[in-house]
Amino acid sequence: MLLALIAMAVGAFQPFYLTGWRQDWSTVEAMLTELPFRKVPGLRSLCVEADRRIPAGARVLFAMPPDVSVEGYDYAFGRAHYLLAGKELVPRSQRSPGRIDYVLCWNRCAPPPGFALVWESREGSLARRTP
Amino acid sequence: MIATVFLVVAGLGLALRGGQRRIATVLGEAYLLGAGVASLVLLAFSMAGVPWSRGALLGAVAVVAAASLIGARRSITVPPPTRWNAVDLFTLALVAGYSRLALFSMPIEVDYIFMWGVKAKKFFHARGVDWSYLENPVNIGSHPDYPQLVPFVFDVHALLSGAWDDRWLGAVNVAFGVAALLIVRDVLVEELGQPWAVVTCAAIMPLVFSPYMGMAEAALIAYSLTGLLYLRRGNTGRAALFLGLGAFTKNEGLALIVAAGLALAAVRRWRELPKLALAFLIPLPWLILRAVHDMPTDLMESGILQRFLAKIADPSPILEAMSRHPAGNIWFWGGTVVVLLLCHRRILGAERFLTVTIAVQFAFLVAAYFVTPKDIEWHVRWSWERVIRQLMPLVALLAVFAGRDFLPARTSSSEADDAHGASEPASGRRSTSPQAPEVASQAE
Repeated sequence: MLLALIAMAVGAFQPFYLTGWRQDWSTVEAMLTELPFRKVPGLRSLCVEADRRIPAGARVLFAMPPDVSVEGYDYAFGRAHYLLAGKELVPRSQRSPGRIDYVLCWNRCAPPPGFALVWESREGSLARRTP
Repeated sequence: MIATVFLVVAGLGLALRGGQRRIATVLGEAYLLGAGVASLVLLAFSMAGVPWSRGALLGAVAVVAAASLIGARRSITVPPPTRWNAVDLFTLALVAGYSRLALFSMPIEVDYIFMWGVKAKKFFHARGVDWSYLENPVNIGSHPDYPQLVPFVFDVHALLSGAWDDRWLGAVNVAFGVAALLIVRDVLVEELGQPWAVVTCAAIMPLVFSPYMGMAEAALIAYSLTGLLYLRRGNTGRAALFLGLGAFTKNEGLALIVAAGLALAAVRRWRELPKLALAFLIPLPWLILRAVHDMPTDLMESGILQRFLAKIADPSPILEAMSRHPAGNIWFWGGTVVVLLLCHRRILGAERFLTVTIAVQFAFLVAAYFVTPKDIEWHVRWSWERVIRQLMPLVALLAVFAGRDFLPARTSSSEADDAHGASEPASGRRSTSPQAPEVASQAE
């Protein structure tokens, strides 16, 4: 009986809670912070930078190059939604998107007509509707 | 840290009600109840159209806390804390290691980003429940229907700090784990005596602390454990409070109330069922709101009966997926089977309530895969281990309770007396059956 209870304890044990202190947490932290966004390189920093430049409540179309698959777009859109939660993010598939204030594009794409580039980096660009 | 202390203070008055509590239990309960109070206050603000703000939250919670403290004044009788020893230091080291892991960065679980975190962040920026976001079909992946206690707790942190900063939100996981472990430890001391209680506490710590950072599992485990331990000991009113908050945390919490009700029926505690049913009052406002705003649960999509019948006719895809993505490991489940075999009389006798609850809840969790409209391989892969981990702390406690007679040299009589001091009825009668109502329920 005691052996059975010990087996249960062994099965429940998480050695990393004790050994984790030996990790180099500075490198692990940077790696793990990027981990949820790793399949779309640069997405996190693009959204963080865009978040600083877009006013709260603005309607933002999230764009990706047309060769990105539906699954790839959904992966990026869901994550961008979290990072840009203070804005109203519009997916590219929306049929009647209404008035769009900004276009945030991952990777490279030219601003659509009526929008002017306000910021760009290696990861992507941000365009604002021209008055 | 400030938010955690705030939630403890918010729930302190309620934690001090209902009979004697050890100080560790009071603190654990205070956090759990404070999280519930603050969440319900935020929901009430949204329903009343009051924009969320730090001042409004502080004011409303202060009123609730003060009112509950005034009412609790007569029942504040805190027994001395139990003694702590070297094994507790080992448990503390485990908790510290878990905390380091929880606080290394923002929560990185996909479900945090897609569901729990994004809703909390949306609500914070909208200064209330963002119905336009929840109702938008584009956001169906965030499961708008899910109960909102955990996003609201994240919002309490953001409102108190004045900005959304997810860097330290892992603290919510730690706080729920610590709260649950403090409560469980005191229960174990009363049940097993000090030596075995602290050893058991160390052993089950990794089960009580959810490894899924930023998700609702940590809160659900804390509320489930607390609620069921009270219900097992006959304190139905208090159990309903915690089980109700569990139902405001995850849909599995709703199922757990039903499972607990069926278990009460199985042990013929019929008269307690109406009191347990009060647990539904806590998630009820959210259930009404999600119906009004047309946010159905995905499992309930039309065609539920056809899906169920089709999968019952051929359950092999589900069973194969479960075997490909097993929950737990051979050591834990192997030990469980041995305990079940050796202690079957106690498991089906004195511990029947807990056994039936676990079995029924397990059936509910499995049944979800028989009605899911999602790809079964995908659904099992990304949820099976997580939902079974909700039950593993209960299974471990059941094994310990059932196998207690096999534990060598359980405790000296003086230690047992000391341990039982907090809950012993005034008559001195020591309850040997967990189903016998104890002093706490009598005090209520």
